[in-house]
Amino acid sequence: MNEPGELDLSPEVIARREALQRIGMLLGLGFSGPKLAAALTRSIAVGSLGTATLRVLSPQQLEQVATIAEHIIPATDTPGARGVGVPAFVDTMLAEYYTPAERDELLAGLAAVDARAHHAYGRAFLAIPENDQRVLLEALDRESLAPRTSQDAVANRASRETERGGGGLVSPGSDTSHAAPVGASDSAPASFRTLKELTILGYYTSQPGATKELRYLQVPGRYDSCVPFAKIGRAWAT
Amino acid sequence: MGDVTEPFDAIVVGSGMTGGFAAKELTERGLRTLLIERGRNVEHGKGYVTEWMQPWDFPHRGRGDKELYARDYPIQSKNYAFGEATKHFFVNDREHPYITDGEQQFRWIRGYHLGGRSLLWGRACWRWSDLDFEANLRDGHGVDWPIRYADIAPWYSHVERFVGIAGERLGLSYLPDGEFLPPWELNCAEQFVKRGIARAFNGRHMTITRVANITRDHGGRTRCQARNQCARGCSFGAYFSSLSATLPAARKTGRLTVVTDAIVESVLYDDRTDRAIGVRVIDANTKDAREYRGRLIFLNASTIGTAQVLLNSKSRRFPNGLANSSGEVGHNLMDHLSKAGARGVVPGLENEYYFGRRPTGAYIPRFRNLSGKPDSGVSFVRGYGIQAGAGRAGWERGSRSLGIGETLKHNLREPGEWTMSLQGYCECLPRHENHISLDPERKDAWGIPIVHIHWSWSENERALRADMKTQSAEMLEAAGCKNVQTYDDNAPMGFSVHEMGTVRMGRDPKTSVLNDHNQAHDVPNLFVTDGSCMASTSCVNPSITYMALTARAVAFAVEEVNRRHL
Repeated sequence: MNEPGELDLSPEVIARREALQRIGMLLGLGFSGPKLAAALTRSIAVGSLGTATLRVLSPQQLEQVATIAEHIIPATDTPGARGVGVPAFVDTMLAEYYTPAERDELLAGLAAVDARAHHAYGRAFLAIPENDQRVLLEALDRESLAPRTSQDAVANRASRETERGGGGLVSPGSDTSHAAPVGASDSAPASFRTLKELTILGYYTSQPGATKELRYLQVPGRYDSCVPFAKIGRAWAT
Repeated sequence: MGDVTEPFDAIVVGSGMTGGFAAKELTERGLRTLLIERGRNVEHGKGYVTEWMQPWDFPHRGRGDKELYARDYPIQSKNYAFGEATKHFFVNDREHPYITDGEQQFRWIRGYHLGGRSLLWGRACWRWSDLDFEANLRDGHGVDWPIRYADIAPWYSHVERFVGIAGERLGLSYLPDGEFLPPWELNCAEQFVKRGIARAFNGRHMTITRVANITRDHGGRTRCQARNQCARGCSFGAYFSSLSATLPAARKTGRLTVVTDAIVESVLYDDRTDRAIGVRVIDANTKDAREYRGRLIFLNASTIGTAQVLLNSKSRRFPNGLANSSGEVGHNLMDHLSKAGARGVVPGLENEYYFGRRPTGAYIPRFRNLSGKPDSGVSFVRGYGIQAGAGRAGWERGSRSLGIGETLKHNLREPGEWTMSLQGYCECLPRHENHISLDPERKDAWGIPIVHIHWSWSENERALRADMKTQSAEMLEAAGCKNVQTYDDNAPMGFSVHEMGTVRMGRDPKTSVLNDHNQAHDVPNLFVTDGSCMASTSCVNPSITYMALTARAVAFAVEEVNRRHL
């Protein structure tokens, strides 16, 4: 299912990462985050596992992102967010798109999601059953869309971008109102919203998302102005 | 590439929309022509490096690099065509500074490469009429145009036949029909709104935009494939650009020489013969200076760029800049005020959709002050046209709606509701105080004085903007749209990328720079045919008018050469 260059999240690879992390700790190297990613890069580069690199997320955080993303867009008769490489895309965006402050905010949000899981279920997010994860995320979804000043700013921006034909690719992270100080427990909804947007963006612009789940033609060749939807069958990806 | 024996019969400065057309017309009329471009070479096809990239090939999936954009592209990234797929066709703002002292930063959108902004343009092509050419005379703003529609009409036909314009004939005196290929079509929602507006308002028409995306194979170029990604470049040559159309035609004559990476610093002038004799260029890479000699000089460096070159071309006879005895060079800068209008939801039509990505939208031609005098109850002169378009919401709406999981995924398999948006483009009055000057101290990396842009909107533009918002909303409501809302991005000058003025045409050498053939009043072998020549803006997209003026000016110049007047 993986595209060339996309992150392989097979149990085997994850096991290798965990092993490396343990080795790092054993050796007192304090591997985490970027350092671990660098070690993984070297490790993977010498193996036959492609060019996967982790640049911001720890393997643990990557798995948390992957789990949340798969809850948002699950595999059905077409692949889900995990299967099309959304977790690696999130890592890339955190490394290359968001500012350091926004990156830290999102990482703090992941911790806050864990804190919620601990509070409600006594265990980390990844350790609670899928149904409980789902309940927790649905609550975050509702909270993240609840009217708040900053959310209104985002919504306004969204409509303006749609107006400009910008496709409505809205980044709450680029809205400075999100930089407003929030308590640790409050960063979970905002981070969830960012992850939801990144998941949807990453999914529907992926090859399976655009061509299997939706319809996409690189070269339509013609324009038909009025066509029954049934003849197309799915929404256009672009 | 032709020979390089100097002097050239003609030198053209700038390879964009009008420079390309000037080169084509000059070479086809037999003149050995040197075309100078300040930016890098771009090869048609091969140079369109993102053309065949898929959505998933872009590492940031279209969002780009926010920090890079903030640092190097703070102005360019505000343009609608800028993005991960097109960034390389825009200048780096940090490397190409200018100064503004207007209400906000003037948005000077630039593409420094062979073909210039002809690679990036919106491609809408509307003829002017005498409603436009007589406007200055009628209401006293600016100076009278030295030409009328009859003077330019055959030249519109000449360029339209070459450019290839898909358009619908409307039979409107104030928006004359041209030489059209079959039009693109309005989609179901646009047709719905069109019918509603026609029912509610006498004399307001909606049509499909007349656009330089060919609907039939034309002039050796392949018809448009409905990808709607023109700004990446199109190796089908399906939209008109210097690279797809005019430069290949000019090369075919064997009389074209192209020099890229050469920044024209000034035009050389000989006060003994009272002629421009060539140009001085700075090599963009080595920063070395050199000169080219030519018998005719065509300046097509864009509205601001051309004025900058003239102001920087100082001599004993022209201490304030070449051809500037009027003092008007750099003045009367204009741009359409846009990015204000309304949008609404078109109800129903759930079973209707479209195939392909149409490369243009709908248009509502000007309906205000068509008699030339203000309509009753209207507080402004001139008018505006409205660019419009409808589409169904896509998967992007998912991140703004409640729900996750299979339900969300299932919902996004179908398109969302239809939204129709109307955006006004209003005419801008020529005013002396809106101008560019050269900074007395600051110079760019090539030692050329930096441009200082002074601008503000007038009360007339503000009144037009208010009206185009209100009327847009009223038309949508009358057509039966729901949730109609006005919007206003408070756009600064430059946002429409229709900057004009600064080297205007006119009848009187005391108040204008160019005569009725775009020939400098002061310097007979100097011609200016880019947007800087415009004495007013009309409210329609300007490029086709620049091209028609260019072809007309070249024909005149070559006749003058043949008569040995030049």
